[in-house]
Amino acid sequence: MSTKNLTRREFIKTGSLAAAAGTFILNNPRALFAAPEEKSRVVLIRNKSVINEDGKLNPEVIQEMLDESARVLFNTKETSQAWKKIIKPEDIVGIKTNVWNYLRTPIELENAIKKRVMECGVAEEKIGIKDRGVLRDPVFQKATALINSRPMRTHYWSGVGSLIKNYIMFVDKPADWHGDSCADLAALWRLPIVADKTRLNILVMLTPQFHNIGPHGFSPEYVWKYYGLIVGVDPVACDAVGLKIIEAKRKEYFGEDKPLNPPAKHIELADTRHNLGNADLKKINLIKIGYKEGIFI
Amino acid sequence: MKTLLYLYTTIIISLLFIVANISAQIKTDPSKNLPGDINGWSVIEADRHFDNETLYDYIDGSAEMFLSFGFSKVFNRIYSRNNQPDIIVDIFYMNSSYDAFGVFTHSVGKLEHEFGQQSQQTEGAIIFWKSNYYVSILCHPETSESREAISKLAGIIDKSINETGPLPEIINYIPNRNLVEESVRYFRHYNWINSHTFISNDNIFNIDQNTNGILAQYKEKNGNAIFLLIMYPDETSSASALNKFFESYEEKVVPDQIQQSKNNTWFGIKRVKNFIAGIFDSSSKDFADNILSSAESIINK
Repeated sequence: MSTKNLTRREFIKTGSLAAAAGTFILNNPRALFAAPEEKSRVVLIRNKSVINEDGKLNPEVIQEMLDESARVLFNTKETSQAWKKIIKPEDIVGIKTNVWNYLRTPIELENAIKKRVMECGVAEEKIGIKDRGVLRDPVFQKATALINSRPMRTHYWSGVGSLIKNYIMFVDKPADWHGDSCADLAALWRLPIVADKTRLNILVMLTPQFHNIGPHGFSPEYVWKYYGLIVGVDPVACDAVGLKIIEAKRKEYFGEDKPLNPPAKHIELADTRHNLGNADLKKINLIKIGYKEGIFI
Repeated sequence: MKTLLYLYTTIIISLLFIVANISAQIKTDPSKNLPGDINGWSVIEADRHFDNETLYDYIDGSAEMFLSFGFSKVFNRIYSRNNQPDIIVDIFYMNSSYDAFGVFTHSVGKLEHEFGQQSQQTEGAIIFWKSNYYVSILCHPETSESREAISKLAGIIDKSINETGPLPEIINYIPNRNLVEESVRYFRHYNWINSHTFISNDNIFNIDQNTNGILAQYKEKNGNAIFLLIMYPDETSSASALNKFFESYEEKVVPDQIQQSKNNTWFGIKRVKNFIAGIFDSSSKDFADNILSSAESIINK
C-alpha cells in the first residue's frame, strides 16, 4: 500500500500498530504505516473504586484508570511513554469535553488528562478544556492535537450522544447536522479545525445513561454505575463498544429487546458511509481490564 | 335598515368572539397561575422563555423532539430553597393537544393518570400533558421535601388548565384487544418509526407532517407483536407509500400476506383505504393476522 494514499480510517486502525512499534505518530503519521492492521484497538477499563460510597468520583482512581488504559492501548511499560507517543511538547492541545449538566465529562478526568499532557512538556496556557465555545477559543483555534472525551448517553434524536457526536460544537450551527437523525455526524471529523488532530478518545462509562425521559432527557432512574472508561484512537470503535453496552443494559432493565429510538445509526454510518473507523465489533480488538461483573460485552 | 342590523349583529358577534377568545387564553395560560413560593422554595431568578430558535440553547438533545411535532414556546421557572435542590418547571406550549400527546408518548416509560390527561412520576420528576401543554417538573436529586413540593406544583398547574384536548383521530383505529396501553407512540416524523423495533433507517413510508402514525406493542399470553398504523391524507398517498415500502424494505414483501421474516418472527403489511397497517416481530402468524384483521375491520366500519 502506498503511504501517500493512506486514509484517515487506516490511520485510526493502525494507531496501535505504530504504538507497538514505538514510533512517534505525530508529525507525519501517514508516513509511519506501511501495513494496515485490520482491527481497531480499544481498551475497556473498569474499577469499582472509582465511585465512592457518597457517589463522588475518586480522582486518584480515575488517574490510575486513564494511565493504565493508555499504557495498554499504546503497549508501553510507563505511562509517560504512552502519552509521549501522542503528544509532543510543542503541541497546542484542545481537550474537547461535554458539559451537559446532568452527565458531564467529569472534572476529575479532565484534570487527569491535563496532568499527563503537561507532563509531555506542553505549557499550561497551550492546553484548552472546553465544550461549548470551542470555535471562538484561541487554544482550539490553533490546536495541533485534540483529545476527545465525553460520557455516553441515550439521545432523543441521534440514538446516543457519542464521541463522534461530541465534535458537533465545532460548527456554527449544530442543528444543521441533525438531519436524518444525525446520520452524517462523522463528516464533522473532516472539518479543517479537527481533521487528523485527534490523538485519543475517551468514552466515559462511569455512570452511563441508557434511557431518556422528559424534556431534558434525564432521570437518575436511567443511569447506572458501570465504573468504566472506553479508550482508543478510533472514535467509531469506542462508540460501537459503548453502544453495545447501552443496548445490553436496556435489555436487562426492560426485560426485552428495546431498541434505541431513533437507532444510533450515525455510528454505523461513520464506518460504512464515512470511512472514519470500525463499527463492526468483529473488527475491534477489545481489551478488557479490571472489574468484570455486569460488563455486558 | 336590514344592512345596518346585519352590520351591528356581525360586530357584536365578532366582539363576543374576541372577548371569549381572550378570556379563554387568560384562563388557560398555566404559567400565570404559578405561585411565587412553594413549601419553602422561592423564585429568585427571572422566568425564561424559549422559542423555536432558542430551544437548542435550553434543552441539549431534546429540542428536535419538540420541533418534530409542533411547538411555539416553553416557559421555564426555577424555584430555589436553602439546602435543597432547585425545582425546574417547564411548560411547553405545543401547537395542539396532538403534539402534547405525541411528545409525551416519546418521553415516558410508563403511563399514569395522576396529573393532566396522562402522566408519569419518576424519581425527582413529574411529567404530564393536558390540552396543548406538556409539563415537566424536575428536582434532582429527589428529597422527601422536594417530592412533596413538585407534587403540589403539578396539582396547581393541572388545575389551572381548565380544558382537556382531543387525542389524534388515528387513535380511534387501533385495536384495543391485547394492546399494551403505555406502549402507544404517536408521530408525524419518520425519525420515530423504530420506536419499538427496527423497521428502517429511511423514510420508507413517506411520513411527513400530513401523515399520522402510531406504533404500539401487543401482548397475549404466549405472544407479542408490534403494530404500525399510518393514516394518510388520501388513498393516493397511502398507495404511493405502500409501493415505496415494497421497494425499500430490507425483506421481500408479498402484499396482504403474513410472512415469516429472516429472524423467524412474522410480519405483514396491508393498505386499507387511506391507511397502511403493518405488523412486525410477531411471535406467531395467527397473532399477526388477528391484529391486522381487527384494524382492517375498524377502518372499514
